[in-house]
Amino acid sequence: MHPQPTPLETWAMEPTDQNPSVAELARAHGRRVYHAAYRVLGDAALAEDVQQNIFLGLLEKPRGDVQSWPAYLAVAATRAAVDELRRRHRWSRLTPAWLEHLRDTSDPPETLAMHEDRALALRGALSRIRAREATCFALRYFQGMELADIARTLGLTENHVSVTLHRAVKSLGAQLKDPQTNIEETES
Amino acid sequence: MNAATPRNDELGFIADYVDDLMNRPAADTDAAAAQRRLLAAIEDRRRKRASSGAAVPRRWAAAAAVLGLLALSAVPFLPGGGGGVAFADVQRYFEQFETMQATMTVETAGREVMTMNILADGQGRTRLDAGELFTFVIDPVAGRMLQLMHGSRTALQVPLGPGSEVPDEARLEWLEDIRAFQGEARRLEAVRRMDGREVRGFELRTGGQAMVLWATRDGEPVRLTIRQGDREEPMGVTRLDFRFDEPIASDAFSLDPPATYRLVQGGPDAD
Repeated sequence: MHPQPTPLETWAMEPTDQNPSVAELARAHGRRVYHAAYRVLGDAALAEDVQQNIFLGLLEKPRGDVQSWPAYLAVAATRAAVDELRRRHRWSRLTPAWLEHLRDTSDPPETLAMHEDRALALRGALSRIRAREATCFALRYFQGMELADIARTLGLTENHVSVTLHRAVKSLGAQLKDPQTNIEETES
Repeated sequence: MNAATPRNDELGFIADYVDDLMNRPAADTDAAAAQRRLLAAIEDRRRKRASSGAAVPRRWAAAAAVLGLLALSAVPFLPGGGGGVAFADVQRYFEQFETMQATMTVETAGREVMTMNILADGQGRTRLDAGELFTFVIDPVAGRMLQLMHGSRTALQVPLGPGSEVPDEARLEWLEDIRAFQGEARRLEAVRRMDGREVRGFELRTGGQAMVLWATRDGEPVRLTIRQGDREEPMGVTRLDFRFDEPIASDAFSLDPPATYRLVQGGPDAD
């Protein structure tokens, strides 16, 4: 076992001509990562968790093969945020589904208003579709990335990204449209 | 970022949802505070590494590296080093039990809305008793599930397999998540007494829930507390009180409906 840090470990702590240090990356891109995570999660504390996990993770597992740090970090933040969103949805299952209506009736009016919020509805729908679809959707429409950049960073073809986005829009449409349709039918 | 967002013609009505979401960005003060804490955390990590590396003679560094590798899985669960129970010990209980009993209590808006008893064994069999409402018995070895609805005194036997609908609450996904938990488990300083036993808490950060798992000195889990909803406005609290490897009734996982229950086809709701 070599006692000296590997070149990658050295890179994580100290900048070189080729690579910035993690601290430099955090200074340059930390806020962008935070905002990217926040758009998906809508929660300041969770966005901060994602931000810290990504940069502290780079200290533990340095990357020497990144062509574009902004793209890499946008994808890492979005992926982690989507995972968190899905996990959050999963943990909420600990409370039996048949109890949810009890909660709804005891929610204060401002919480009910929040439930009707479209941003919240979109995040909820994102948590229920496939992770890759949610990630591609968020990268394209929340982070404003070009198809080619998404494809390059995710290791997919542009065509694959395009198809995935199409499926994501279709899945989200189905998720978001059903409640609306039900309301209209009830009211008519 | 907003300016770079592609115009959402291809999104149809979802474009309005995206616009609503994008028009509610994070507060600048929150982002600035998070950034400060991030840079401080990186600097803190850098200092710790630098100081530990400088103090270790070269010949010991190699041995330490080997030991570090061996202990790698435990490192995230031993913040601050030191003795005492490690989270890995607590996890082991959830992996190696013969029987696990848990009483789950759910509180919403400060009032208790339900209590459910959970029983599981090492073969993956599960029994849920929700008071006078229902009992579910799931036996993956036998490939069958029994549902008893106590109000109507009806019973349903369902084969398990692709396409069969196991209720969410019967899947015990939380148990799988604890077993597989790889995130940060921060050991709390406070020591408490529960059921006459001294327990220490581990704060688990996952899924947006604030969870604390309390365990005895030898790692036996005693209580899991989960706060549901946002940290600012919790929607409720779920508490699980555990007992491990205690004797259970021989027919606890029986898939036969009681004699006084009527077996129905197509589910209790179809009755």
